[in-house]
Amino acid sequence: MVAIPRLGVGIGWRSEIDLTVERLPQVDFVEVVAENLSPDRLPESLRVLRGRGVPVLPHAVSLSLGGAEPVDRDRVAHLAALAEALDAPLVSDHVCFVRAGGLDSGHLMPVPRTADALDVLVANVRAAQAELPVPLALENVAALLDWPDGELTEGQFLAELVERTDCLLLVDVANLHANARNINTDPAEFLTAIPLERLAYVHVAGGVEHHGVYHDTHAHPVLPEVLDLLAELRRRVDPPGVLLERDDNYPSDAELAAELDAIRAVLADPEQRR
Amino acid sequence: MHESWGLTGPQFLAGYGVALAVALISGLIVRARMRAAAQNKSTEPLSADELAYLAGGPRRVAEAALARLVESGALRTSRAGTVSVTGVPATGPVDQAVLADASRHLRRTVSLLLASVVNHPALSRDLASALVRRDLLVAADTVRARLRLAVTPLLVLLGVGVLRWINGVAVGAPVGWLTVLLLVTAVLAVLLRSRPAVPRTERGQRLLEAARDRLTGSVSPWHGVPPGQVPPAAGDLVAVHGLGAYPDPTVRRVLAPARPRRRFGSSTTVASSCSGGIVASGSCSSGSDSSSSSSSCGSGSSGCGSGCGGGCGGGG
Repeated sequence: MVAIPRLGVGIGWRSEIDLTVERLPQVDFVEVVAENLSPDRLPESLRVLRGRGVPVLPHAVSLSLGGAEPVDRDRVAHLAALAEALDAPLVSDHVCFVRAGGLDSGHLMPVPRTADALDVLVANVRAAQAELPVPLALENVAALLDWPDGELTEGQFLAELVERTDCLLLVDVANLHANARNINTDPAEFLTAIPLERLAYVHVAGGVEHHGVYHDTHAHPVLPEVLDLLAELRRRVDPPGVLLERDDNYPSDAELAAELDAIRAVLADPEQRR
Repeated sequence: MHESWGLTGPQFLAGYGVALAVALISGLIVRARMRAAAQNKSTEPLSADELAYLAGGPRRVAEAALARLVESGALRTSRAGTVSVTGVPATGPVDQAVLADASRHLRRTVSLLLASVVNHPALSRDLASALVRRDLLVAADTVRARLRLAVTPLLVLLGVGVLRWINGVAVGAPVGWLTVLLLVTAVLAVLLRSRPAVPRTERGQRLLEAARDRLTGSVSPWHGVPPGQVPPAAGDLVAVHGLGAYPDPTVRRVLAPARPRRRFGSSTTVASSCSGGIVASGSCSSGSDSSSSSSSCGSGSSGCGSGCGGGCGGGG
């Protein structure tokens, strides 16, 4: 078992906000969407950040590890090459599938929480791990539906996955909030069930509630309820890293800095959000 | 020797030469006096937009607004040379016009934004009218009329010379020197007729130079801003020196990518004249070095072409 690196507080690097990310105070690490980058043509901004010693973590969205088809080795190879080009301490993707029968869903689809689906997921994760030069962390997704006949809660499912693959966990507290709001899951049960000692880092993101459904847009401010969940997690464990994701409708630098400050405040004193 | 119109060739050439000198001097005087008229003695300080217009016309106004909006956080720059809105509002018609243009695109390329907004009335017509009212800018109509007047003696002379040339060719007289003089006259007429990019009045020129000295004086070429002093705002620096003077070097590279721009046949480029931003522009504008002073005026302002020689380098 490899030691999990201390990452600190970071933000998702996107080309639209490259200079902002470079200039925000106290950005300890950044995450990049792996599919948007080529290992041999890294953006100047990332070279600047790496030059300063800021860790850059590739985050994939297309491995489709929960899919019934074998994992696409080219996609894994791309992620591996990117990890090496960025000298990343770990990489990540989601517990989901994004394609089936040759069709792409365009969404991170939840995996049925059955023993059979877990077997398939475990096989795909192991296949990916075998090709990756660094540890793989897997993230809980925001689901708008729950497959019928689930045998495990999401927390139990992830705990089994970690047990069988030794993968790391990337916990998205905004997704936890989304699932609590949309499909009535229990975030506290989730946090109790998962092996928190295998937590690599945490995602925090903004969203918006529309007609009674919470949308994990990454294009709106972070809701207080999501920070409450971060505080709940922080009371149980000191996470190695927490990362703010913002993918669209970018606010001013000052607003992004304030969101990072709010995250730091929760980490420093989770009791403030009781 | 052949005599047409009662003059030998050399006699005509001598007369033509004298007339050319007189026409040129009178034209230059008319051109210079165009800037002099000063009835309005208002001492109201220049607004940032007016200062930018005086320094480099609508293009410079757009650049200064861009710098202000980036500094205030209303626009975000990226390394791709684009800007995007952040939701922070802007005040004033100029900044609002620039922000409105940027907000029509997810990511707006800086060069396209500048090229588009220079035609907005808030950056061009409205500011020019205000400056004309304050006697800081010569009205476009006045410029046209004065330049026409300035060039008239040269054109009359050219007409006479052309007739003499036709006559000379017709009678088989040598016309080599006359041809040369006619070409010189034509070139001088074109130069005298050329419109200054920003037709500042003398008062406008003085105010611009004072603003330039004030801004440059607050920054030392070697030590930057002296301790205890507030650094000048990016919008003001860009207003007088162009985007090449944006204080932050990384943002400067994004907003004003260095590209070679030839000026009067010299190989001086924008990048070399203003590479250190305001630190370099200490020598850029205030200094005694006339070459760096004149090259500074090329920075960022594409409107600073052949016509701006006299006015633009005035700080040096």
